[in-house]
Amino acid sequence: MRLGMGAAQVVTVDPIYLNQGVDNWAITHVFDFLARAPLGRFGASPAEFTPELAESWTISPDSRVWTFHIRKGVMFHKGYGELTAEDVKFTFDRVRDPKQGSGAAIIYSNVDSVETPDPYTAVIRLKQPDPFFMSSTVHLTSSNIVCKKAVLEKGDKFARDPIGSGPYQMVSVTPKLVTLTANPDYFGQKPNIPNMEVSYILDTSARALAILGGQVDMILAPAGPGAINSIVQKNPKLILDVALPGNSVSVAFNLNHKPLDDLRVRQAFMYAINKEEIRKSVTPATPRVYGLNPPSVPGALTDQNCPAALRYDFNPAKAKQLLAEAGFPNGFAFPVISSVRDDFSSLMLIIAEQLRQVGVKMDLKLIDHAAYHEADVRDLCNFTMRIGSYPPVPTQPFQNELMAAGNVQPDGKGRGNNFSHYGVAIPGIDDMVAQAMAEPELGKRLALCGRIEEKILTDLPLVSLCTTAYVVIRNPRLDIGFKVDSSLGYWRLNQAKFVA
Amino acid sequence: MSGAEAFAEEEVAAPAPPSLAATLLRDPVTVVSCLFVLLVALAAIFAPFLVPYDPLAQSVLSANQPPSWQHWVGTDKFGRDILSRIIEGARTSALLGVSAPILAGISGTLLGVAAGYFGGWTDRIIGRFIDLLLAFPALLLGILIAAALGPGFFQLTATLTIAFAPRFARIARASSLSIREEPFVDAALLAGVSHWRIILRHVVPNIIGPVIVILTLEVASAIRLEAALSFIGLGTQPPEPSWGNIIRDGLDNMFGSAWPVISAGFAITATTLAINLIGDRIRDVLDPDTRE
Repeated sequence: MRLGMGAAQVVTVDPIYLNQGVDNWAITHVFDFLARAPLGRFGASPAEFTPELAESWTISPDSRVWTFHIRKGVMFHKGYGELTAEDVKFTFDRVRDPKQGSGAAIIYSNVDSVETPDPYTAVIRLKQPDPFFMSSTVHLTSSNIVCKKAVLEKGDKFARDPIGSGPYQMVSVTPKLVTLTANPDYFGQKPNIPNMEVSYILDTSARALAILGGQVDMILAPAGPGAINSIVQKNPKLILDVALPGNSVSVAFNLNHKPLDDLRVRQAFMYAINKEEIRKSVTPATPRVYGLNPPSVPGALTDQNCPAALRYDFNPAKAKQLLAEAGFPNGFAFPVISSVRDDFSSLMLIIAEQLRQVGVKMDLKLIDHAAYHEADVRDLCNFTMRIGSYPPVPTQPFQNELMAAGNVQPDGKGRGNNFSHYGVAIPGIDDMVAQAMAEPELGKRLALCGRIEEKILTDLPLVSLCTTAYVVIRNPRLDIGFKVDSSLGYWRLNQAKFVA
Repeated sequence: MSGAEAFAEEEVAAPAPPSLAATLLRDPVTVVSCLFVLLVALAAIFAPFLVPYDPLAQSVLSANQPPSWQHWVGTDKFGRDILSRIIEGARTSALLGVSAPILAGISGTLLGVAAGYFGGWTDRIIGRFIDLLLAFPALLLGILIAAALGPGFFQLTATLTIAFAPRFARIARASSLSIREEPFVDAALLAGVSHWRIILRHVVPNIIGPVIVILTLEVASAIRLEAALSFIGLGTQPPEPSWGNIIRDGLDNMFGSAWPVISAGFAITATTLAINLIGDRIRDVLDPDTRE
């Protein structure tokens, strides 16, 4: 089974250092979670999650103490011994350890301690109650349970020779190709297909040719307008696996840079950017977004409940007027760095053209994708696009993209993706998010999330642009065994089989 | 028959060197090439009046259209009119194609003449520097400089100027070395004429032929290099069109529409071919040493 993924090369197969989504395709087959969402969709409540490394779990009434009972006899790959609660504790402590420098650390700030009363019990205590703990944390890439012995023994080499307990084990990691082979001792459903290769093919035409020519069985679909249709037209038998809401796309204003520090300029951008046109330009067309959370997430702003003053429907005349009030009657030019990757570049070029219509000229510099991520976490960007998928946990995008603790730093050591410096340049959000996260009652918590969305739309640290479906194009000879509906941007293939 | 008579007769028998224009117009291939280059030049100069659509205006909902009466070569993935982008792209190519070789010609020739005329340490320093630059292929040098200076039109002009100057300098140095030894240079020096005046009045006019030949050929190279650098993302930045980045954009979307790649590819090939053909003919006329 061969997968063709859209990136120049593999960055890491070590779960806590993930920074490009497509590396998940290898990671999710090498490692296991404590519990897994049903294949093909998000788990809405903890009850929907199915046991994986944990046979069962109990949740304290205030959702603060989560006790996982670890399955006995689970063996790590390549003779690294049995997986125990000690490995679970090591995994969670490792990602939280500031010395490790994991970009996901901020999400784990709510974890207070992990205890192991016996080798088959792991007790995770939280600082604040989290009824979403399964989807917010247990099901994150960095919560894939790693082998303590292997990490300590291999050090940096772990990223190239990872040891997990998953259905496939690592054969080799080269920049363009990750090779996996079935784990004969897997405790769960053993893979039907003995070998798996994840190849990295950045060029979209080359990827399209690979799936059309049958060299690969699945590709990450290209993202430019009309691109998916043009491939499927060549071979209508190809299957599209579509995960919605898929990726959320936001573009952060750097609140420390002129003239983006002026609220009127940011409002002008909101009115100049035509979200309706953008959501129709992606394949398949996605629902209009209002706040940072897409409308399908609980607590999000929707067409029904978004206050009229915060809708920012397309209105170029109003945008020009606001620019004139801000002292730019003839517009202005501003430099923007973005990625050459097809999804980034095509969305950024559409925005550039929409802004040009109101006199704002984007001096765009499109650079290599890895270099772009290197630049954005070092606070070198002005108008920073982020494309990534979140579980349906409404507080998580706020934590990752807007809180002071997630602020990007010039030394690249920030702990999140706060490219706007919101929470620092304009304070207030951190308290509101903390309040929402301390609220045990779900209804009230969601209402607080709605207030946060409204505050964001008032202060405008970023443009919540659209969602893009996560689309994989699959050869009909490969049956993955379930229907993809909602999911993070990867799914497990140990049930997959070739059909004639 | 006396020796003097024979000499006179031979002089008469030698055909008068044909004029540049006459030679060029005698050859139909060259005429066609000239017409094509003229067409590109006119398109570049009058681009704002010629483009049927705004080359940046998108219409995402009418993307990837095949050629039609509305859009002669169709639309790209953003619904932009490809013909308009090719015409607008000709501006970048033409402006760069002319300005970079001229700047390189002036700076390279002066450096080369200075090296050849003054000799000694001047020659050694300039000569080694030229050797250093010549060791790199123009495209590699272009990538190095563009990566250091960053993308953009002025950076690109500077890049190509630096990449091309050594060829002019080498030719100019070799030619001025021999002219330096001519008696008329010594005569001028004895008459008290300054070095720079001798260089400008006596040396440069004697080497101008080969310089013009290189200049013409480098115009084609400049257009080709601009396309190559824009193609790899170091040249003209989108959304501004240039022939190179139209191909780059189009390559991602070959299945949607192949027309951006085909039309920009044709523009680059045809233009560089035409200029090279003209350059060859000019060399035949101006540089008799290489004539068959």
